[in-house]
Amino acid sequence: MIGEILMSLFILVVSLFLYYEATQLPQLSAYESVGPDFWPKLILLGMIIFSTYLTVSNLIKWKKSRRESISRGATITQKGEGWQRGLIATFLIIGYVYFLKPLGFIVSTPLFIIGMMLLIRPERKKVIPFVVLGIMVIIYIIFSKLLFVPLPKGFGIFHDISIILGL
Amino acid sequence: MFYYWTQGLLSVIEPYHLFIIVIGSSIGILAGGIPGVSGTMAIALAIPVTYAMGPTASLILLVSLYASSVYAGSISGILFRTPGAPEGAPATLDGYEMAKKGLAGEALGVDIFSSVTGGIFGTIILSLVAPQLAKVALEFGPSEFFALAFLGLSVVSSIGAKNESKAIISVLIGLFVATVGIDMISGFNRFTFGTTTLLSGVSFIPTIIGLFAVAEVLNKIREGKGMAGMRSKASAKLPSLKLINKLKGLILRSASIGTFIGILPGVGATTGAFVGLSEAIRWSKHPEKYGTGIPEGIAAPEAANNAACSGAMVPLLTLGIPGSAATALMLGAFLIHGLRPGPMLFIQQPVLVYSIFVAMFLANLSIIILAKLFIRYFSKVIELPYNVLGPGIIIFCVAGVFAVRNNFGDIWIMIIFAILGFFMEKYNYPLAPLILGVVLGPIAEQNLRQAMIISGNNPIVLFSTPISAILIVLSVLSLFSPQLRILWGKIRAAKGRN
Repeated sequence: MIGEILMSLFILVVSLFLYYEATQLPQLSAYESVGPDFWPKLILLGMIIFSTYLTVSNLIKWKKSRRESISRGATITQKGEGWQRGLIATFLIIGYVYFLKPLGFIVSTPLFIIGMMLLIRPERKKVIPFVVLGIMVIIYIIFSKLLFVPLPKGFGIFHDISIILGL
Repeated sequence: MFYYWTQGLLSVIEPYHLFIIVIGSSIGILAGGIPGVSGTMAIALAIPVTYAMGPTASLILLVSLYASSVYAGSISGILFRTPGAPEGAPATLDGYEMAKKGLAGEALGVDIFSSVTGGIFGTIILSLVAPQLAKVALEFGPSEFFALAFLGLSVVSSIGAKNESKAIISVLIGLFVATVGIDMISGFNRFTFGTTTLLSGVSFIPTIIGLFAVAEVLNKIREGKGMAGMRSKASAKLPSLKLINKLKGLILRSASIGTFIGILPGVGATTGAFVGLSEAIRWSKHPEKYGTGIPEGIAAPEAANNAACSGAMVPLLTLGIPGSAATALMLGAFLIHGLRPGPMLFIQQPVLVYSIFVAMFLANLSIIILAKLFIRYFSKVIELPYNVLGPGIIIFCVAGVFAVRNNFGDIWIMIIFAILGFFMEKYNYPLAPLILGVVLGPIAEQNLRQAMIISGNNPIVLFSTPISAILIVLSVLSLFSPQLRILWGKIRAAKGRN
């Protein structure tokens, strides 16, 4: 329930910020009331109204459920390890994309695959080298050779490594 | 006309042209099925190849590629919740849910049948009434286009039946995302925050891949279920006669809608698929079931998008105006071969025109055989354990998104939407309305503002023609349909008591 409140509150705060940004857009007399700010403001107003409604109603529900759980003597449950896995996976993906440009596809991708495989099924380590090779070959054939999409090569020595390996 | 049909048929059934249809359809299915690689990209890559071919063979190749790629966008959507192309996104919603229940084969079969039926229906309409349909589309002005977009958006109340507020927030997020970039009317930058990536707006492919594919991988890792791989065999099973009978009305209605949507210039198969789905939900006695894994959720958008694909050829062939991005590329192919699409094409090159109709017909039929072959090998992938499949999907998504514009900014957009999708799914904000907003937002905004500017800021202009007035009234009724249904139920209950 706290997550629900935080989610709707986040949407409300972002909507308010973006509405402020929308007010900075020029209002030209040539377009009168339907300038570039008209449509975004309309949408953001709707988001502010509905996210406020959700936040308030979630707060009311939360307070009610807290009163009921306290009166029943219920204990608060802990978040499972699933959330931790999800967050680690998110950071792994962000890290992979961040390092993709400087390190190149050939270097950053195997590191990412190893990290994800150890996260998802850490007991299955023996297959990692084969999976890394398999995915790299498939992506290389489809994108570089069939579709002529130039995959990121990286900078400096990583660029040279990518060229040597045929990317 | 019968003479030209015969000549067109005789031209297409030459072994060389039949071979071209098979090659074009195969490449189209591959291109449409792989996330990040679309039919439009495949057409762009194929055009240089057609330099060495005659005009008939070139256009047969391109239309076969186009028709089959529009179908294939939903294959990976059904199997991996990763639509291969934007027009495959609506079918993903119910298709993936069916796959999760172990009904992937049935979902794929409904997909094939609906796509082929929609495509053939659209091709027949295309060939019979092309000039007449084009005249109606010319009558559509900004008010009508806005009303059409509003009608498509109004179904959000039915999609979000469990929590209408969350569904409305979701569609508003989508509408807002569509405003990012250079404003088409005034030319000012909106919400670009100084980045060049966002100048042309938030690209659609990174958005849907982030929301549907990457977010799904993150959610699956969080849930920790099914990590050892799925054991169900996903070979396409064509629907039974009983199911076909049940879906026939829906498919024909969706195909009609898709054909008409496709005819409208600038509105392509993607919009056709979404409007087809939204209409199916609106007409359904149980709209709350959409999104839970029902065949109707696949049949409607897939029939509509393949019909729209045929419909998009109408303005191209009759007016020389492309109806979609893919047909815009095909216009280029016409010009390369010294042909000028338009009314004169029907007079100067009638056999070529009817060859295109026959080729589209056969390309849609070929989907039945080629799709089953493709799916048999493609579905082996879902038997892989998730520690292999998950990273593989992410890498594929990253490479696919990068392939669109060779732009790292697109990959970051994908990540942002993946995180958004991750949390939206967790807290039960439906994703379909968001995509609806992204697709229909630009059409709604641009046409509303144009209508207002032309009329001197008089909102009555939206009701000035019968078409726009009727569409807007229908939209408002649709938006409040859950409340109206409850009210109607209370009235009936009160009458029953009396």
